[in-house]
Amino acid sequence: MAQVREKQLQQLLSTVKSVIAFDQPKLSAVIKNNHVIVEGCFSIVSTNDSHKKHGVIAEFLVKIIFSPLYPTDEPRVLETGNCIKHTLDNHINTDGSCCIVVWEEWITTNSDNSVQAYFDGPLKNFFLSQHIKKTTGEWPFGEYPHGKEGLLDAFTNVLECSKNETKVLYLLRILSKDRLRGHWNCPCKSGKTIRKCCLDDLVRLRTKVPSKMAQIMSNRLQSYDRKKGNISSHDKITAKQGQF
Amino acid sequence: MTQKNSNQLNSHEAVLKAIVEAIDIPKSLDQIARDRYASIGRWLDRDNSGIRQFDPEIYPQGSFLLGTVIRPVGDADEFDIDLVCTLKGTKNDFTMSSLKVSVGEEIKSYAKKNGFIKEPEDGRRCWTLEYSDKANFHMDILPALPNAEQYRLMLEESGHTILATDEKISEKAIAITDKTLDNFDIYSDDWPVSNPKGFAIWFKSCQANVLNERKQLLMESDVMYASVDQVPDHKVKTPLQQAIQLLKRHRDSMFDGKENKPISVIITTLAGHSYNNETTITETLRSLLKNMGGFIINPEGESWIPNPVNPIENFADKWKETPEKKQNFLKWLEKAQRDFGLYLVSNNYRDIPEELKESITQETMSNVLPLIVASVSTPAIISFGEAEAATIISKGGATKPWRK
Repeated sequence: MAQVREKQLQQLLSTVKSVIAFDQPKLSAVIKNNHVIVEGCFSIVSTNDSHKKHGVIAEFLVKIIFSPLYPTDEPRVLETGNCIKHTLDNHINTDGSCCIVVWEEWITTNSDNSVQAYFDGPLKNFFLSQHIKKTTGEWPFGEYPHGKEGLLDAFTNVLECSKNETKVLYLLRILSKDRLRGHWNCPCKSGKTIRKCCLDDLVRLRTKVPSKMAQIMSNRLQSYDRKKGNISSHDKITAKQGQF
Repeated sequence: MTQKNSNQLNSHEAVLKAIVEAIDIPKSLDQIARDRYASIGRWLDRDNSGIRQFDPEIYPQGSFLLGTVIRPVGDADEFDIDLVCTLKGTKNDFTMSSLKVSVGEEIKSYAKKNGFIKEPEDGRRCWTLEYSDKANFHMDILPALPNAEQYRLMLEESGHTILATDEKISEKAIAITDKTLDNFDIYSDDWPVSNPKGFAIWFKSCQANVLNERKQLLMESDVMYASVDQVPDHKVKTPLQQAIQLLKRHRDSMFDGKENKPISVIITTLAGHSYNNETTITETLRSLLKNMGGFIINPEGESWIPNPVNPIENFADKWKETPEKKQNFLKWLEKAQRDFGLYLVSNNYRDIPEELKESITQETMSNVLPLIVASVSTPAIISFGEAEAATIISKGGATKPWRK
């Protein structure tokens, strides 16, 4: 078991190293405490050739902690240079941990969840947003509200439905099952069974949100209603990673 | 350095090109080298030459053939040119020793006739001719026999049948001498095998499209050539060749005077595999540096970097007995990724990081730096950020921050 984990970690380290090679020359990666730790200066580079000659758009000091279970586990990102105020409004917790993205939304709406895609997507977008917000006061890609409301917005987007918690939870319950139950009431509230109504749409949705992911999403949404301390498994992982 | 180039140094690409030009063999010396080995060829083929009946052929191999020659660190004009001298004989006509001597006698007489100060040196495999005029070449001449048949057989026996039947490559194979071998003085079929021309054909195939485009451009601007086929390969330069020259210079300065540095044939082979028809040196360097490591078979254990035209041969065979060679290669690759990345990714084209200046050598950089022109106006960097955000949105790649 330990050997398997070691192999997984080595593979992840090699993947991360190949992603940062050349493109992120001020970052380095090592294995520490069973995680891959990336530290240094994260460079935001333009994709426009004529802009590239002027160098980077912005740089931020960061520490990124990858669990060997990536992409099941979201990497934990810390802004370590104090270039951005660590405030709720900046989507950075007081300990410097950054709220990069709603992980489940990114996982389900993108076919490529590789480390490369993470660097080129959510990570770059987050710090580019911070850079633009600092100078213009605007979030270029928008922002989700804090807490449960933001989560609901993101899940609504994933499930392509209206923003209604009961409906979202019912849809996630349907998708959580190992197979679609055709005799259940259709979530569109037509009064018909799934079999006679939106079966095709739900089959399509299932390819995007597999049952395990639907369970995680459902648990996460409901965790806000549970009493304090009863946190989701995802948050447990995040809390555990806090030791770095 | 020409005035034309000085006007062009306003981008990373232009600066890299200027560096390559500074470390490349100057065109005049390139021509002198070609004239010189042609002159040796004529001597070997003269009427009273002792090897004339074997129709001697002399041609370049290695970096001179591949177009990846660089000046030595220190920027002196002392170039090593590797040549092959093939006699159309068989292993029944020669022992390794007699072939070496037969070619050596003619090279010695050439040196005497042309007033060389030093007598040609008898190396393990080659004869070395040292020129001591204004163009200080060291010419290593490798005596060889054609060896197509044995080469094909060897590839077939090891299961490389497709390569064995590729006549363009197999017919170029040669048998070479090695005076450390036990059978050096006896008639034997067992000679070391090499195929420098075959390797060059493979290298050319890695960049065929870009090479033809460059030849086409030259043909259109030079009335000397009526068709692309008439343009000799060495008349044009490709981004793959230029990127390899930069990598070799980086390697040379990192291991200046030290042993066990990464060997050129490994860098060239991995670069050839990694190249994806990029059209600029910048893009090529990125592609090479990101992908080269991935073409090492079994990088964690007993590593293998097959000769593309003879996969039984492992270019990394010495890594096992001398692990420092492997460590040095990996260290070099990581440093090259960082040094070139720091300049091409993190910095604007005007600010060359100290790390890269050191890697290219300060002497070379002192020729290039004065030619870098400043921007006409300081760009508003923030607009680049907004432009980038717009690009991301247009490609559907936007993601929003959120707080748990």
